[in-house]
Amino acid sequence: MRDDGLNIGRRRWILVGLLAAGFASIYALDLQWSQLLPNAGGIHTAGQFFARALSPALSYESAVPLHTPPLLIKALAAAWQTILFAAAALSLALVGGAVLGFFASTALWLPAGAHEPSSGRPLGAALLGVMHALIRLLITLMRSVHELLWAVLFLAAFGLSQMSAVIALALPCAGILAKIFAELVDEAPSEAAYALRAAGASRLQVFCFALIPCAMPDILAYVLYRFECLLRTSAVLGFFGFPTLGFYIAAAFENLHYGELWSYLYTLLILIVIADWWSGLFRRELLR
Amino acid sequence: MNELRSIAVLDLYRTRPKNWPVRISVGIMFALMGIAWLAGDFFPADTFTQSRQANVERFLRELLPFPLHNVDFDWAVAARWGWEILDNKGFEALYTTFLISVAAIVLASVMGALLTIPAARNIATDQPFGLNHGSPSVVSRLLWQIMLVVTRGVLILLRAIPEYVWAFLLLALLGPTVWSIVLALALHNAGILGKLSAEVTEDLPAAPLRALHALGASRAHVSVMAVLPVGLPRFLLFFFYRWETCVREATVLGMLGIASLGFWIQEARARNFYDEMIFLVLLGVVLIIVGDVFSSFARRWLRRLS
Amino acid sequence: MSDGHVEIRNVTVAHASTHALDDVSLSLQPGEAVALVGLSGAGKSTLLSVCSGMIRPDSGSVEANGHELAKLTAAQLRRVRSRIGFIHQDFSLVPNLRVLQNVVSGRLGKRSFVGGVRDFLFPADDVVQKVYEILDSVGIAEKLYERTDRLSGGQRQRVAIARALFQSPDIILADEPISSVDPARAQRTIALLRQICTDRGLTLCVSLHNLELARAYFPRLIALKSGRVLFDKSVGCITQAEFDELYHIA
Repeated sequence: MRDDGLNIGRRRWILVGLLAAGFASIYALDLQWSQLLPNAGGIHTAGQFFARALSPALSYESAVPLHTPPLLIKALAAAWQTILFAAAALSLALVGGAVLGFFASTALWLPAGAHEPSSGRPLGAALLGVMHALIRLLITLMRSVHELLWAVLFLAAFGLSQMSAVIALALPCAGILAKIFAELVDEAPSEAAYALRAAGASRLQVFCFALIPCAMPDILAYVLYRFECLLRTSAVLGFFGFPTLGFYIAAAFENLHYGELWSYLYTLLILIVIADWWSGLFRRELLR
Repeated sequence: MNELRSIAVLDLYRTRPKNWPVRISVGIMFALMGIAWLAGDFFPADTFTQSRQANVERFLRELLPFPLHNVDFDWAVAARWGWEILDNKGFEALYTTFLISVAAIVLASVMGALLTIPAARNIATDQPFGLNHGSPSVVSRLLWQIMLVVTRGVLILLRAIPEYVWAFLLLALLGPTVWSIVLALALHNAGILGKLSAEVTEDLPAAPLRALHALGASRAHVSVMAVLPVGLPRFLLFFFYRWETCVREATVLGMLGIASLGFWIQEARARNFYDEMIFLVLLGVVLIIVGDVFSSFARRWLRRLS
Repeated sequence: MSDGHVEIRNVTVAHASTHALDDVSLSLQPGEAVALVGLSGAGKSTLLSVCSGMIRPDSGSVEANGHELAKLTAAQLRRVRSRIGFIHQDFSLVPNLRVLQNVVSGRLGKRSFVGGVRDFLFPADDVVQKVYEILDSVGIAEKLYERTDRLSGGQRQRVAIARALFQSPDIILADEPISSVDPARAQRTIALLRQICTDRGLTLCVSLHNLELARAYFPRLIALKSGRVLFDKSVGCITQAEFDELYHIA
């Protein structure tokens, strides 16, 4: 049999081509390798910065007002805020993603059996098609605008409001979840769906009792992965003034408190590593 | 008779198998979502104030292109306005964003590939691919073990720190050069790609690799001659999947002051030119959608092969 | 009463590519047990799907339980289907659900959407009891709350039978139900199906590869070859020549 897939020649050219594209981009961006070496100021900063890597601050590096909680408590509180923003956003995104995903999936509208009698209403089918396309467009728009851009837009519109941060996190996440829900449900094995259809179940019943259960483990695992991503982005939103970890990272950096900076960085690191470990464990257990 | 059976059913119900890790995880997740709304301060008292409402109204009014304020809507004027933005900065910014994403993902793949070898359990061991290397030496086993743990730790570190934070730190160290963004994207994605491809490498069928290694090929040989070609479709799948996110992130990282789309979005916001801001955001959407479409074609092609 | 009656007249299915049917007519009487035999690709699965209205024939008419399928609305068709138990070749169960949920989903056709949700998540005691009894009758009562993908092939097949029985059907159609189990279990399964259907007075139509089993357990055989009925007789009247022709590959 002729190997018309990734044969050896093509493989080599794909690799060479991608590498070439990378270096061409570096060239076109006018990047010099020498720029990778920090300048004198940079070296100074880098020295101070890395010097504190192994000795993160355990208490504040400058005088603080009375009754300020200890640094570690503050770092934990910031981590907790990061989690709260992510969890609130996830709850919104789950609802939005489920509703949009339901309407974006094709499984509900296509007959389970290829030769089943169709409902025979062309106008209804056309309307469904239009709705379907509009929902897909909406989903694409939601997830194509980055969380931080949503945040900037909301900042411009509403000023600094915590709710806008939650919605900024939730919108792209809902879009991605909707897309993944629809894909997973559409790709769910259809034998059970066909069997229920043959036993007289309605399309909605087939959708809810055969397709969704089939796709459920993958959906759950993906939701938890998304939560991990939300945690990261929620931390970054702090750079825009919300009280998550990023806020304190930026503040510590601007005040040149590198010890504190490392404390916050390590907090973020631990938070993400726990989430990463949790979602890995969850996935293994679910898909076992 | 019937009663007896009911007891049997109850018994079965009581001893039904349960997946505790999954149940607990789902429970924690729901609890967190509930607590978030109770403990989070998402509805401060000033959520709906007069000034805020006025602000929103002003914002919505100014989304209309500036030359169209107080005149009848005219497509020609709108088009000229849009073209001017494109000509002044739009095309340049799109081009830069695209280049940053490509440079970053290629660098990330190179780094990820280098990290994959010491991160894959079947390669980074004193008995690679399950091949017995004669009398096992405790020292060499320990060294390989350390190498594996260290590499995995590095991968976790790389991917746990968000791109934005990497860029923020690198900008301070390297100064305002595009490198900081490219490297930030590359480092974060190297962590992800390294993890994913290490998993793929561990799942490859062991027999061919073992055979090659038994012939005397070194670990590096086997990696290049067998692991890379066999796993390539999967690796490329990850490559394109991460490239999509790179385009997204490259847009945004510009907000730190490097001339990708994000920079101009931030700048338009600073000048309160909301019409221009939304135009540039939509331009980013177009770039991302084009990237998505291209990448999904590439991935579909690859999935057919693997 | 026409419950359990299936009548197929001059059915032709052309669009199902290789497994087409060509002018097939047959009639199943209530309570009858029939085996459908023939080589794979002869159109056995297509014929069974036609009986349950999952494939609409290009010409000819299908009548099940006294309803002409082509004339029914979607809702009426669902009602007719809910009285036809279909056992699929690959069992067609949802792997990551409990056996109880898979069996209960058999009667979705008789339930409203909300009723279905209730059955699925919080089944009433008498529903559970009934499922338990049905599982008991197929010999896997103790698997009531087990996850379906933890069961062996033979056990899964019994779940599929239980699901069909839970529909309280008049007709049971089974498409190669034993193609993926070992010979000893295959025989037990066919015996079980036959006995259940005789006990409850259900019409049974099974498509089978295995001619020996078909002859041993079914009084009437219908043979399909290339989409046509080759013979349709009670088992005693079939000659060796006819069997030879059935399995003769041109």
